[in-house]
Amino acid sequence: MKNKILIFIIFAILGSGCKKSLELTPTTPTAASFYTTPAEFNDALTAAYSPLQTEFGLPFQYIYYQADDDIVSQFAMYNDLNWLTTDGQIQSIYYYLSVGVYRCNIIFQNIQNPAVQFTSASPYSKNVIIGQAEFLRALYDFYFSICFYEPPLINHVLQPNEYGIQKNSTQKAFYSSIASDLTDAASKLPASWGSTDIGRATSGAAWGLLGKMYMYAQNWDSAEICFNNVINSGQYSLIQPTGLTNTKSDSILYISAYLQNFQATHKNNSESLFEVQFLDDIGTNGFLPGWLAAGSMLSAYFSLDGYKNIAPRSTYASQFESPGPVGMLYDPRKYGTVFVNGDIMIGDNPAEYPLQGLPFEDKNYMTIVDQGFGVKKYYYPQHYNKVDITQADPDNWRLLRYDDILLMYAEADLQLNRASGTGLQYLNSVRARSGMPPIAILTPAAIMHERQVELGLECLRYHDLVRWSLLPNNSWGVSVSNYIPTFVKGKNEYLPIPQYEIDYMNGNLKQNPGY
Amino acid sequence: MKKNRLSINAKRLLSIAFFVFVVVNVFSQVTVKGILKDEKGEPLIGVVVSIKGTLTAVPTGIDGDYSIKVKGESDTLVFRYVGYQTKEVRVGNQTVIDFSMELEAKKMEEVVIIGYGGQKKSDLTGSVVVVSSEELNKAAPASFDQALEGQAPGVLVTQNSGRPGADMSVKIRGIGSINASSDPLYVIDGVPISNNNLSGTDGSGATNINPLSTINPSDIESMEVLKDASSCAIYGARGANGVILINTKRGVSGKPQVTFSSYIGINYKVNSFKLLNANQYCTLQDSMYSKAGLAEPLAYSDSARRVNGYQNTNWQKALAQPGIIQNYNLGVSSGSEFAKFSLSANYYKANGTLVGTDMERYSVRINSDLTISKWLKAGESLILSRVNSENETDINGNPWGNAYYASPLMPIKDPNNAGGYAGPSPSVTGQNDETNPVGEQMAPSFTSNVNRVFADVYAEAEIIKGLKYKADMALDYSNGINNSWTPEIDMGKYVNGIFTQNGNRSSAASLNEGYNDSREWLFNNTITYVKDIGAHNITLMAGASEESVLTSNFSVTGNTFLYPGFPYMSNATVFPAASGGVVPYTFQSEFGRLLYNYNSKYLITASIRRDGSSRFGPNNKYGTFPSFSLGWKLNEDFLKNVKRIDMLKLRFGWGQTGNDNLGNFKYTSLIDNGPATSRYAFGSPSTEYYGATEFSNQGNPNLVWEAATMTNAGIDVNLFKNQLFFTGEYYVKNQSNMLVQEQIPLASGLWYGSPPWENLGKVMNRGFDFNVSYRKAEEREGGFSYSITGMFTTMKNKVISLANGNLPYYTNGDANITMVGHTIGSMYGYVCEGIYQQKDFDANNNIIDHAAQANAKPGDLKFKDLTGSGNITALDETIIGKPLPDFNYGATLNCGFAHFDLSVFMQGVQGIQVYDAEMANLCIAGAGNNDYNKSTNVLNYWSPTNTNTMIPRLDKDETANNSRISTRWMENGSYMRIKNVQLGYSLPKGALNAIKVARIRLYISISNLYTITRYKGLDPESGGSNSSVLSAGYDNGQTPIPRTYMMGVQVTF
Repeated sequence: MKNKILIFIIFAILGSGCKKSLELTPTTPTAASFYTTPAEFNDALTAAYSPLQTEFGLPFQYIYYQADDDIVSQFAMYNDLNWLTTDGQIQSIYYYLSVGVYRCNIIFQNIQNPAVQFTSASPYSKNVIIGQAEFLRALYDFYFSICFYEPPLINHVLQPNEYGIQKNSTQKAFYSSIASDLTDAASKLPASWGSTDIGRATSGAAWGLLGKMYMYAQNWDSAEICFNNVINSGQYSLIQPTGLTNTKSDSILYISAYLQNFQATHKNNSESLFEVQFLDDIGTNGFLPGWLAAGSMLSAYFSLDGYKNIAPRSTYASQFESPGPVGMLYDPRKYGTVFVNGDIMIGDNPAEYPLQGLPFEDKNYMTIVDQGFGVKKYYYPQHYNKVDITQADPDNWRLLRYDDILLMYAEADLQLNRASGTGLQYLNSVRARSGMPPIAILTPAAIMHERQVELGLECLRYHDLVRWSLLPNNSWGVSVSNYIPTFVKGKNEYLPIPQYEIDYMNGNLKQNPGY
Repeated sequence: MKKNRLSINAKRLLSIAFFVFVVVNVFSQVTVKGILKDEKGEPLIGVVVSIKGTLTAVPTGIDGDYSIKVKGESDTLVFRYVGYQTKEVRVGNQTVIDFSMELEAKKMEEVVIIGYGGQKKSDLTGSVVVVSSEELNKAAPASFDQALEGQAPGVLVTQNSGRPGADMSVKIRGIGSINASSDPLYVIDGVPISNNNLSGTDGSGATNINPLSTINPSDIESMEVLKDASSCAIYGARGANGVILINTKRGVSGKPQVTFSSYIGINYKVNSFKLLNANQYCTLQDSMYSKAGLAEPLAYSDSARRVNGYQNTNWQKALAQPGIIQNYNLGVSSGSEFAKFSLSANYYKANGTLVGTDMERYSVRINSDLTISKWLKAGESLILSRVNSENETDINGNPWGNAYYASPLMPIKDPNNAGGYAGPSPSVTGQNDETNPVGEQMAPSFTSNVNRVFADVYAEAEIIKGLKYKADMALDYSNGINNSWTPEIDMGKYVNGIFTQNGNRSSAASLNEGYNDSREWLFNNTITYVKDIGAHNITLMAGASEESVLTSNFSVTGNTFLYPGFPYMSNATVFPAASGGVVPYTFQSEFGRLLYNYNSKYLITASIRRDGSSRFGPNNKYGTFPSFSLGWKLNEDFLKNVKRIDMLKLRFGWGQTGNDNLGNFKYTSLIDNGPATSRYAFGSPSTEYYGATEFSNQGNPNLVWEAATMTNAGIDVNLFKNQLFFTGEYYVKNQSNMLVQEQIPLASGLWYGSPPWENLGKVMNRGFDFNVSYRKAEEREGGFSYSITGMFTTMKNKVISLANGNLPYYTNGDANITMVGHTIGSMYGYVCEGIYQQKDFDANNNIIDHAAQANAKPGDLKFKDLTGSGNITALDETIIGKPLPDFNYGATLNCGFAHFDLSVFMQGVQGIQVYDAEMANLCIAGAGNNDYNKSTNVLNYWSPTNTNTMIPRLDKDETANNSRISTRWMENGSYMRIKNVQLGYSLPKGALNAIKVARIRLYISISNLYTITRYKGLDPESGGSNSSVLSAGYDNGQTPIPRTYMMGVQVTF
């Protein structure tokens, strides 16, 4: 009996003695343990930059590349602005803008925690991290407002009980939030970065973006103040052709100066306020350019070396002035923007272009007779249809360029009735870089023309047209449907908010007009 | 301890000596003789005849004869034989004792394992189905879950694929969960085992080994399926989806018994799509291109085909093989009063019906039970197994899918290509760029290997009479390796702008190896007290258990090999990817149960269990799960004198169980460092920076247990001398606090791939289970005997509520919808009203009398405008089918005559709809630029001269989107299948005695012999099934379940 009791006790001890805790620690950090060191905030910041690449960037370019009147696309739905509320590309834009905003908000939520010790040894100061996050949130919000009109403005990390109750915000609220983020960011960010940090947001980028926002807000004075901050910072200049001889051989100098804005070999140059960064490494054995999270410009994806689904319209090619400087037939920027007769396209058969020989419903795309049949801007000379094709396009997406700033300054000047002031000089400096003669006075037509040829095929045109069409009293007389016949006024100014989100918010969120 | 054993032995010796002394002195010795026979009158060899209370024992000889010396009349002889009822006979004045041993099952009250103990079958109050070893092994299953199909009412088992070793889908009483697993809990010899994917993870995440296939079905003595709460609640938090208890064979007393069984067989792919041959294909393309006003690719012209040698490849045939299947099983069982053991060794190998696929298993099992002293027992179960599987290696998806689409103009081989396989090219296959399915399957290899050790050691002590303490310690250890090798291969020509779809036809060599290591420890203590006080019979059980699981995995990819032809990691020089992780999981429980009956007339079972799981947050780690059930045996009460009724029992039960099957650490947000969507580049030259974000897991600290409340009412009737058995049950199972991965708004900015888990949503399952069987024993030796068993189960599944204001869940690319008021994962699409004819259009080619439908022309499918908006839009989609049957059924007929036995097993489901997606693809001629091959049905396409058809017009670009999911391609997935027919012959005893073998049975069997169905796809069973309930009912041409012809032998020495 004694022994039985002994064994019983042994069992009982064994039974109670090996209790394993139910409190286990995961093998990766948790949100509760993260966001405590400067290095962790730096990682979180990297994640906040990330959606700019393929996640947001690719669908954004996809929609707006096909939308404007400079390009004709095989996809009638996108070409004709027949945007569906259930469209996956549009949902991607909306979603990844939200992801970007969330990743900034989580930094703001945690960085003021007193336990976070930034020291002089930290790679970046607290202010520099906050400044970058503010810039990024403003950038995402800017696109939210120009693409989706008045979606909810999310300024903190949403809690589950807030998920279903998000309501439309107002453009005014967006502008005020963007302005506040960018003003603060501009005060916190450096004017430039060392070589290992090139690509991060700068104060110049913050001023430039804020000025651009004021252009949309039609606050011309504030826009000019911001642009002046950029111009007077001494950080930016137009790339000038060097060694001009005033002979016909200057043509290549003009073209190559302009093209530096679109070539992987001249990333982050003096004309760039902000570029979406892609790795130099192109990789091999890939599928399509831009398939992975590097190198995304749609001209590479769609055009010449890509699926050949788009082409510049003949009406676009004819926008370029003729003659160009010193014996050139056209404005040198034409040669940097579209392919013309005589250009060599590596490894491709022009007869196949466009659209693999399929009939194009719109016959207005450029033909070889029109001396142009492909998008040259951002062209990356690697042929995707090869074994060992590149996995990525190393070029950056030049999101905010100095010539854009100069032209917007000119536009603001014109709105302020200063048709022959500093703005005119700036516009003429942009023309001069390409060897084009100055104009005498600013007019709406001159500004529209200059933006079309200088900034063509960069996904800026559509928003420009909409912006001009929304000027008070239609002061410039721009009607988008004059350029894009399928444009529906009161609808196509903005994309639809994704149906998924409308459904989710169950009545709290209103769809944009016309959808 | 040692002293104790000595003292017991000393006592025993003393008492024996005393006994012998007394007996010898008082009586003289008497010899008792006799002949023992079995129930058929054949002599039984090897029956152990012993004198009770002594060590004296003799076996019966070749004629069943024995002779034993007894001390006197008061002695009792004990006759023991495996499988027969042990009989005690007091010697008295007899000198000859002859009789026929009675089979064990006949009289012995069957005891059913109910989890942490057993209960007499007649006293059960819960819903438990017992499936015997015999039924399990009839159809030579690769794994035991496969054998469950159609055997147990309330259990819906479907094979997801005909691939050997493929996953099964086992659902007990419907589907309870949306996102958490709906699989039952498996318990082997009292130890809950892991049913997770055991093979290492690799990048593709594709094939894995069914973890249950590591268990040899021949090792299973019986299986119990616990269906209702009152039987499952003892497994508390993991009982919500039902429990399957597996009892492996254990040794019994008697002389060594050796069994050998083996079968060989052959698997055939039963069904193939009828596809266009090369001539039909070219003719069709010709018509299609000319209709579209396009020049047809040169490759389809006669001149090009002549140059190419008039290829006509039947890809389905090229991919199919007859799969040899073989199984060898050796078992040894023996035992004495003090030690019993049972050993087995097994080898199983099955080749799939797809070339280059197979599965093999080696397994060894050693079970032993020791009686150390009168009050102390100990024992162990040990199963060692290894499963090797050569899987489908296809890179782009379903290998059969490739076979359906590939051009019949493409040859299989091309010696000029690296790897030796031909590929699509403009000059041979024109616009059809589908890859070479044979090359995709045969050139690379993808193997999975799993080693598994299952070990359980127990000790059981009877502290005082009726009070037993049992401790179990178990280990379930497994490691798996996935090895995926892609050699340098070229199966396609990239030509300017022609092929733009799949990029994988050319590749550099690459090797991926994934390792997975999982160990689960379990420590279980139970104390059981059995007490009878008059007519009150009480069994009390209380216990505690601890489990701890640690899983780790590692995966690495190697490229750029030094020497071609050596597919080993040591030969690789570039390692582009490596990943790994460790996941812990702990589980703690306390539980108790009361079994009470009054005079075996009124029965009560009540249980309670408290579980703690590491999977929940600090506030919700524990859950409590109660249950009770009542039974009333009318036959022990007022029906006692009704002779024809052997048993009539009414049962009612209620209980709650839980489910924590949601993965680990879902209550907290995990930071993922460096997923592709959090990286960015900085610097000049640019450097990749790895960002960190809450990416892989969004935590919800408030998660609580999913709970299932089940109610069960049943009746058991045994009639006519226990020849007719009937069980009928009604159940309602309400799953609440359903663990779902909630949908999140885009605005949250969280990673949509892993939204947080939430406790929202309710699902109800209800239905009837019926089981009826009739057994007619043979009346004389060699006579006719038979039994018929049938089972029938109805099921209704309805979603009661869902997360986020009942927002429906769309899954499987919006083909399946989970919506309040409907079955989980219902099919979602348009209603097809027919086909447009010329008369439906006016002179301007506008549709008359019907809603506008984009691009529709005569010969396109006509869809119904459900919203009445005048336009066919996405809002016109509705629920068009449900992937769960109204009922399923099974029936088994066994009969024996003379030395022959025959069994026929059929099984079926009724009231299920399957979207025949592959058929839809194959019946729509045009689909852009790919020129895929099609079904011969396409030849019946609509044209102005062929209007009475439901195959849409030829339209190269398929502009009218006839292939959208619609009722056009929804089919009735009901089927009735003769699952197995087996004919056996047992050699007569007389012949066997001569060679000293106890039993030889030879048999032939055919599995999956015949199917009655209206389903037009390949196989309604595999087609309608899917391992995920959220994408079931969507047939993309899965490997049909093969037909198997087998012959086998079973020998008992």
